[in-house]
Amino acid sequence: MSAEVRDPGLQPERTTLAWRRTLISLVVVDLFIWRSWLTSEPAAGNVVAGLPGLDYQGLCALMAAAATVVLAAVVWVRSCQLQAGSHAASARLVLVSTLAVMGLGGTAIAAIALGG
Amino acid sequence: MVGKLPAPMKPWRDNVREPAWRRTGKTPDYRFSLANERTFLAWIRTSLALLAGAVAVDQLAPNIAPTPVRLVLCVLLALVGAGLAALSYRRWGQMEAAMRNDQALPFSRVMLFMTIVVAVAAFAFAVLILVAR
Repeated sequence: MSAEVRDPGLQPERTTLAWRRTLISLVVVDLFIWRSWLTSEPAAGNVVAGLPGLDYQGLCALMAAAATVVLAAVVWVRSCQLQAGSHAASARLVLVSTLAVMGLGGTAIAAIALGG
Repeated sequence: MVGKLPAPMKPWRDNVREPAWRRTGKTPDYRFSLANERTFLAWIRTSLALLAGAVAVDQLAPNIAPTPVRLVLCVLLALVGAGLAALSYRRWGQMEAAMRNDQALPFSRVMLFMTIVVAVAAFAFAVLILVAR
């Protein structure tokens, strides 16, 4: 049953590490977007009435955090899969991670446009 | 047409929800699929590096150029980063499909495109740094 798990090239382990490195890279971008919000002067308009600090830059920061959470979930799922066997990733998992990165890109563009 | 699956168990619980190209041909050796996956992740990290560069230049180098120029450059860099992520997914799918059907791996122009983009961006920022002094 686990004949595929024993792998001289340690490929499942390397693949898990590659996913973790990708998550770290994404967190770096996330932190920059948060920095952009936290170091900006409070904007005039608040998006949500109850929360005084939440302007549009704050929204960008929240969306960046959401992208991080999504990719972290993908990394967790994929790590579990790779521990159990060496099957290829499903297209859905790869697509979700791509969309998270593209969403982060859109958030970064918004943060740049708003921060300037 | 359902592809041949490895003997013991099905790789994905919802085989029917995989895209059409995943259901043709036969499942490649897992080592090639994992290598393809790691290559996809390397491309994604490149895309994230471009995004990080865009926000970093915008925040940490505010005097590098007049604000509209800086904004346009940073947004362009971020757009390239986001576009690269999409291209990476497409490339991953193309390679998987080629492996499934025992074809030669298709040549990907993404690498050439990326080299040109990074070279142009580096040149542009070098010019800006020189002019700003």
